[in-house]
Amino acid sequence: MIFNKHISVKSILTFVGVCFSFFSNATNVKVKWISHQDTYKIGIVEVAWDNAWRYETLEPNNHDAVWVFAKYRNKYEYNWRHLDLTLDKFDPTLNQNQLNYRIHPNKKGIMVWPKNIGDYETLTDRIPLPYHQNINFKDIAEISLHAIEMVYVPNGNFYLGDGRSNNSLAAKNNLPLLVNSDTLLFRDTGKYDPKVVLPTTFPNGYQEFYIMKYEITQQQFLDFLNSLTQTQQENLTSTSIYSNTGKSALSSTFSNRNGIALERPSYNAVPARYGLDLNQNGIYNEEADGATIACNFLNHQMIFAYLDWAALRPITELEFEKACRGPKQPIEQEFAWGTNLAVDAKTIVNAGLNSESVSEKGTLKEGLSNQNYSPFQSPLRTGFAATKDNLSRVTSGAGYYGALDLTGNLWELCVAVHHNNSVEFSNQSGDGILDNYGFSNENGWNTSVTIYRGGGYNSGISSTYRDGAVSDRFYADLEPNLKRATSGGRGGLSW
Amino acid sequence: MVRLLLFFLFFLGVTYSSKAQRCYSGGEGSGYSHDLVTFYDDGLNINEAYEKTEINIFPNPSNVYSPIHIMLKNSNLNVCILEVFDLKGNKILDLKMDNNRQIIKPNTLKSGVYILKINNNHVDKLIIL
Repeated sequence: MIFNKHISVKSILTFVGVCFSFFSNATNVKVKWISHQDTYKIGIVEVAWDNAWRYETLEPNNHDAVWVFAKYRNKYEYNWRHLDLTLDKFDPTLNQNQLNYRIHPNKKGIMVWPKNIGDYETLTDRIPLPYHQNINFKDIAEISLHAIEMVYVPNGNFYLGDGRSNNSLAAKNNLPLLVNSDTLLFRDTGKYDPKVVLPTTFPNGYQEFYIMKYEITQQQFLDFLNSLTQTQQENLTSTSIYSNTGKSALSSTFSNRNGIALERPSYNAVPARYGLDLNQNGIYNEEADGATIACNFLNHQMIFAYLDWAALRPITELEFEKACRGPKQPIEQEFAWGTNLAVDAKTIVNAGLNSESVSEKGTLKEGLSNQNYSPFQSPLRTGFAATKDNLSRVTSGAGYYGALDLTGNLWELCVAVHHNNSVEFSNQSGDGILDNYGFSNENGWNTSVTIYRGGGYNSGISSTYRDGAVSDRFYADLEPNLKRATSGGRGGLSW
Repeated sequence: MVRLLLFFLFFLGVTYSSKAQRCYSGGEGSGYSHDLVTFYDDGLNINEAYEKTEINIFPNPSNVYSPIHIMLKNSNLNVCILEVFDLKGNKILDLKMDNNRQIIKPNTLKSGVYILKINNNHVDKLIIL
């Protein structure tokens, strides 16, 4: 059934329902529930973000986008459910003035991106969110709307390996390997020779995909924790949900700039509530409590759970390398910004604020990054190097397609290719629903398929040792259960 | 002339680029936003103001002959339902709070220990001697 043309989209978009809401702290992205018409099962959402772009004749020939999904809670229930969408009432030709939008085939979220070619200081528009007919607003107490900025990586060839980095994926004689088809036979050397023919279902990076522009932030993981049941919270944190107020949630004590804390312990049937308290003053979610700092202490279970809940998926290490290098020829020991030279972040300014950055600057050939045994031994705000007036890939420390912090800040969990179980991983994204214990339950998302890539604040830079290089696989066999202060991640999505 | 200029810039270490640039720009914040919308205040939401709500019971302990005053402190709830349970989980009373206040009349409760719940969320203990 096609969207009923008798329902004027304009009229729905201008309808203002009776509800109240608030924006989270100022960010590059803003999302807001405007109204709904339950008769037609359509919600109206406003999406806005800064520095949007859509290029089709200019490098990097891609666009950025925003992934929007929602959770809801019925009256007198503590558990949150995923707001399933429907394609029944969806007409993709009904695009708005500024944005294109498209519901994912699994009906778990909607992607929006610039309608017109060009770049924009800010894009703002309203989009319809057609939800499943079984969802009735008369039963709903709350809706929680989420928006994550993504970067589109188009179809195309790319190279693996740079001929020098540790254990890198490479062709015979350790030369870079061109990926130019949907299947891939590795001929790596040494310890990590996988001798695996990857099936066409494995996301090898040749096919198009979306990748999160930034690493998962502490605000993102906090909002995730606050949507879980008691059992799920217990399994995805490091301290008991019944601990005292103010206890660090993801590590035994506050350290390495992770400010997620137990704001209110669980009691009776009530789940715990988590808040941000980076400065540990007992006042939660203040402006300087580090909402936009990359979230560390995440192991594979926590990242897989977050991505499943957000209806995204893990990226593979091949996709990671493509997101960094794009179609360019490899350079020995290069970083994500396409050179092998770097400026170290050493001096934090505006600590904990949304404007957190460092006083050091990148140069024409030296990318600014948080690595090389950082003096503060902690992650920084995601995208700290890409300030508003910073328009260069190198000085922003950006990957070819515009994703940030691929080198340094935190090590990023990816799906590896060298494990036997790797062949089971496909581009299937999460369904927004975890198991009762809080873990992801998607096929192929196994413990034994992970690898950490891209280096972290603790990575070294020397001519012989630089584990943050694009092709370096230093942590190919790191125990994925460890909740390390240096580990985080980001997700992706296929269409 | 243009080639000469580009060569000169290259010699100085300046790389000419005609590439689009805004895609490498950022700004403040991050690429994430969240909007929490309340359609019906059932008392289970996680709004911070609500969490500060406290139940004041006076007197407590009490006796069967005295009125018991129940008052909500820092409450912004639109609808408040007070429920009283015995320790076996049986609901003894079900009262609507008026302006965040309610009085349990004398001789309503027998001697014993009771659990008070506001909107099935905030809980406190009442003892009748």
